[in-house]
Amino acid sequence: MKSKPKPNRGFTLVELLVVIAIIGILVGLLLPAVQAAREAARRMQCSNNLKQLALAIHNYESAYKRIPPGSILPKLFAQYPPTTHNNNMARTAGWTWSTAIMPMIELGNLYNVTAGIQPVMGQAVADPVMQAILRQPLSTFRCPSDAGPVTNDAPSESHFRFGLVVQGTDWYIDGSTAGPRVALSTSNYVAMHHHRAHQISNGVFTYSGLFGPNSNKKFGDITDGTSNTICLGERAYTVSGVMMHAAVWGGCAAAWHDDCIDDAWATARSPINPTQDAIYNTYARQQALSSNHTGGVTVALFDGSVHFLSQNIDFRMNGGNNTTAADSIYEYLINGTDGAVVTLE
Amino acid sequence: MQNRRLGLSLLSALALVLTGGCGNPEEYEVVPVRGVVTCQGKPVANGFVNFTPLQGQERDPSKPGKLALGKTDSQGRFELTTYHNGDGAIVGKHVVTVSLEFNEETGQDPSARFPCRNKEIEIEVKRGMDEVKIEF
Repeated sequence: MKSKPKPNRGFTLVELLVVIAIIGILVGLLLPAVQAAREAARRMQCSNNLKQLALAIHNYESAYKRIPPGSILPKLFAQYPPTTHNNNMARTAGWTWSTAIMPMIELGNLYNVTAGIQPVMGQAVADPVMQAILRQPLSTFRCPSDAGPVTNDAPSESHFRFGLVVQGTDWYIDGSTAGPRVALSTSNYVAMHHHRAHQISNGVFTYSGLFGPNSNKKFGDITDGTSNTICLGERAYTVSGVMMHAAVWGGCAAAWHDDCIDDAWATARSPINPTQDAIYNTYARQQALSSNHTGGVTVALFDGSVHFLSQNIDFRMNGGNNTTAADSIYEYLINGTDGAVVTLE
Repeated sequence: MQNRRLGLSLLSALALVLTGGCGNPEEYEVVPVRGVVTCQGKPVANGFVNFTPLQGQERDPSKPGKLALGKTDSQGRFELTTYHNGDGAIVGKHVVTVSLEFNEETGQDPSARFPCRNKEIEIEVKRGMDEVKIEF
């Protein structure tokens, strides 16, 4: 007669493994969801910053009846017009739209001890007190989805690093002499400049956005309507390890050169998120809009509304850099006067 | 034995569920595209080939898809890139153009005097596509 087997009170190996596997799978399902929720929160904060900056531009317009200038250039340029592309005086630093609106975003105290009292941006960089202010992080200008450093040390020619070489009474950057340089506080927000690659001829800029050198535009100049034209966009420091360069809120390094386009503005020289470095070179990446949000960037229109633009947006260009007239939705949205009215839902 | 088989099958089924269903909704289906481009019978050296997705094609008309770009070598050979280096082009109809490299210093386009500058060809990118020969 067989004795009745003692009931087994433990778990078998298989049962344990199944339980562990199920727990593992549940955690595996949960983790991406948590990460996605965190990114959604960061993206929301990022678009809120953009909204605040767009509203500040509205406040500036209410106060001065003008859209803030894309950049404010030193007067010395009139005495030393650039005859060649690499002329030293072409490399003088300038304040930008982001410094102009500082009194409208509760940063009036910083404005009053920098751009408010020193019209020559290069002189401010050379002043230890002002330089320390221009190097300090400002969360309003940072997109939390971007993991770039506090000061923008992006490696691209002399851009993003402000030179400390003196000539006459102005300060400038010269790539050839390579004097001491300083990296200023990083920004992820850029003003829209042109619907194609930069167009500069002997210091004269051609552009279709509302921000340019010493620009002095009114809302009335946006004939396509404020709800159909991009005001600000975003640019990451890196996306998937590829250098996108971000921006600088304190100013641009060589203002009569094309540095403002890289340091403070953006163009549709290449599509949104040109992170494919086999095709888009460093010059293309540092002019473009880019972000670490999935598949697109957030932009603020001139009516103050914030929208997400997909990287799949209608965009046409000829060759490796866009040099043609506006002929696609992305370009129509940047160009404020093309007559093609495009509305985002 | 039955118990173990059950556990294993359960595990693999859940693993399948886990790995599937993940994908970027902002990336359309792409297939690798490579080929040779010629202009008036001569290979286009050191130029760019653009594949721009056409509007329509059962997609949101404002989002026809990111364009694909390929750099040509000295023999006019290229490989297209859309979302990731060398990934190809979005499946569907494209307008194809060719041009020369942009001049960084002057911001001018050398394509101005390029004979195939304004020519456009329509090409449909399909799955399992072999080499494409583009003649402008």
